[in-house]
Amino acid sequence: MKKFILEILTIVLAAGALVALLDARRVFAQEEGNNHTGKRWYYLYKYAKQKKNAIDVLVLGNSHAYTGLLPEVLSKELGRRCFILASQGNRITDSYYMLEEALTVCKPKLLVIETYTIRNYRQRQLSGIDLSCQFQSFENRRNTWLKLKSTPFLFSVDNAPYAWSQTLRNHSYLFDNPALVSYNWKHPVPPAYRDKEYLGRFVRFTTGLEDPTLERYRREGPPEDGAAMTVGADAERSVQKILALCKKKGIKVMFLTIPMYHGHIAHPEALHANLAPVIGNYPWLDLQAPVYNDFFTPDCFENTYNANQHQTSMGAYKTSLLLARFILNDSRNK
Amino acid sequence: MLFNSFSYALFLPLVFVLYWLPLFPKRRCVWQNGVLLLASYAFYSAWDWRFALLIAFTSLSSYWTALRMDAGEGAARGRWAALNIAVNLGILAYFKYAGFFVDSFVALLTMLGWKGTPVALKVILPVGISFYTFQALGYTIDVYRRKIVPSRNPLRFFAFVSFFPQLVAGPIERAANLLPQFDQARRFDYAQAVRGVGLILWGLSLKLLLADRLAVYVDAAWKGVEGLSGLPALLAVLFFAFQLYADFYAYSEIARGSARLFGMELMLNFRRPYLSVSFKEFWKRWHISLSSWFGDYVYIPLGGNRKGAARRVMNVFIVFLLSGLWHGASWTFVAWGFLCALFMVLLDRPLGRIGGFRPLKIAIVFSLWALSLILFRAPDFGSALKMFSALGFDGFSELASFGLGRAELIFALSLLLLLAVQEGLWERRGELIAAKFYRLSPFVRVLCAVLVVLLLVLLGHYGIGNDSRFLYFQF
Repeated sequence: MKKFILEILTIVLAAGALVALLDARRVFAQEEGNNHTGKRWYYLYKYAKQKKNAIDVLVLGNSHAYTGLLPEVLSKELGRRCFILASQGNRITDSYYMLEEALTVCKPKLLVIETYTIRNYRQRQLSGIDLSCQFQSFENRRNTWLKLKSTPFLFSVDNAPYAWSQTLRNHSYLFDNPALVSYNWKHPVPPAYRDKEYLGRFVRFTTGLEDPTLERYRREGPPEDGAAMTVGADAERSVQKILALCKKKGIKVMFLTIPMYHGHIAHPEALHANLAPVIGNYPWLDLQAPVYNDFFTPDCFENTYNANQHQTSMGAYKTSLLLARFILNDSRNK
Repeated sequence: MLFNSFSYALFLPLVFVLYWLPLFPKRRCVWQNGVLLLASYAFYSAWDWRFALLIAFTSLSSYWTALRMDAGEGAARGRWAALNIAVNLGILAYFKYAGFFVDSFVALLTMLGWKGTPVALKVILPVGISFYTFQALGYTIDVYRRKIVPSRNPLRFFAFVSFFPQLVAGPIERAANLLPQFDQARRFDYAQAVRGVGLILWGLSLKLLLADRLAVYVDAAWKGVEGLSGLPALLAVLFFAFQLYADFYAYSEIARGSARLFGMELMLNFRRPYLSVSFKEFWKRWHISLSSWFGDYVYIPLGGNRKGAARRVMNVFIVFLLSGLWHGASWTFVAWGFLCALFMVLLDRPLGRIGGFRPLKIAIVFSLWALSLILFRAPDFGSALKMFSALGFDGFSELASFGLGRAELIFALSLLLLLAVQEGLWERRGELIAAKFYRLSPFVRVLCAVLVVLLLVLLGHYGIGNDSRFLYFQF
């Protein structure tokens, strides 16, 4: 029996070591061109190395946060360094573990949570593009121990190995994209980031809603319904965990709803009502509220009728100004 | 929980360790059976916990009626046997065939002019219900025939019915073979365990390298069957024949390998069926546990070949029609069964007369089998007809437009060639090669295993969101 177990352990360890070696050499890494999540973590750690408490305001969220805010504008307005720690398709459950890791290297004074991450989902049952986004976010985190600790909460047993290994996840590149495998083999170190200062923004959209899209809104009505955008138990639990963590660390918390075009969401008041019990008495700047409809003109929004609409740089600029004013006016942030 | 999932890769070692823990030395058998029973119910509940209730009920009814049968004499025995068979077949009929029968009945009424709105039945099909129901039925019939004595130990019996390695897709074990293995404490046998791991790796290779890769092509081809023609259609038919074989053979080998880790031996389910020279031989090599089940419990009781040629032909048709229906609640499966019976009745004699040229006979049997599988794979008769009419030899340039790129297609074809060579070698000297391999030093064996695992990791067709269930789960 002992001999058998030893042989099996040898097989598992040897095969595991070879896969780990391939992972370490990044043989099956995806193309780095657009990995802004990795870039965020790189700069967060870099600032932390440079100075303790290098970040004053930390924004958690997903693509809505990194396209809908200009941290440079926010930093200038507040006179404090603001950093967006967001990842594409992020859910608040993942945001909690990102925050947990971020707090090991920085201690912001204020945490801003973008509410688009607070949705109805089952974290361990994510699939398709949502799961891919989760893998991407997880892969870019750097603290191995915290990653290990968070794995059972983020992934099902069957998905966890994929989260840890690019080789398992992307081995099909051998047939689908052999050129990339060959390139990775020759270039095991990813290209260095060269920005002098990077605060997490990612401006993708510069032109706003165009006439045919506006016409479609008029013709077909809003593609999304605020009443259907409910908050699930996983999200609620994660918000409570974030609030508890911040309370323990003495970090103030506020919530921010970055808007989509007012014709995009039916019943915004229902969306507000869905989020309100989770947010409770914490400060909340809800820019989806009808009072801001005229301020956020069509040029503020990505030209799409699809469900997931982002802001243009114009929208991000306006949102940043309003957020800065809100923070400065809130007596609790003095 | 699939055999090719990470959860099974955790589950199996965990059960292995618990099973062989040196606890309760005086009640070792109870401990081992208890661990297997709990593990099997956990394994089955991973699909849906309600399925566990169903298998518990099947086990209980078979256990209890077998005891009643044993206590009774004459007609009473027959009544208990009939009751158990009716209960088991009733459960199977409800969960697997209710929708089919209702739909068929409604279609018939509609043909006769009825214009009502049929009630839609929403019955979920419990995974592997056909397999464990047949295993339980076999036990009941064997007790009735006094071939075996009924089990008086519920723990052993429940563990036998639900034994997880073969629970959801067989082999459909005979009580006479498997049940006695639960009677005594198992002792760890190093050689048996090593061979078990070998079978698991072999099964995983068949599944991940071959079956799931071929499935990509086959699924894409069937999805676009409307516009399919020529060589791509022919390749889809050929690939499906190998996909089905590799997939089911893989499951059976992993099941046998897993069982060996617990000191249990399951029956062989496939013996190189694609090297058969007649259909009779084919069915002795393909899904052996089901073919022999139908032989023992349907064909022979109907009279087999003892009551003249006409009766034999009728019995063959009955068995294959039932076998078709066993595979799926659809008329296409029934038609497939009919075709298989037709091949056996009409072609075996002429095949025997061809003479000694084995490859020709093998090619004929395989080609006809592959063609019959069009009915097996088709969602309906219309699609099957389209696939039949699409077969041809043109359209070479389109081969790489069905989910597999050029390189992967060449890789898949190379694997098929390798499989053919391996089957040929094994047919002649398989035992010898295996014995030689297992006599190699542990270092070489471990090295081979590491290489296989690495091959599976790098070249296996798996991934997030891949629907890589075993084909026979649906039956």
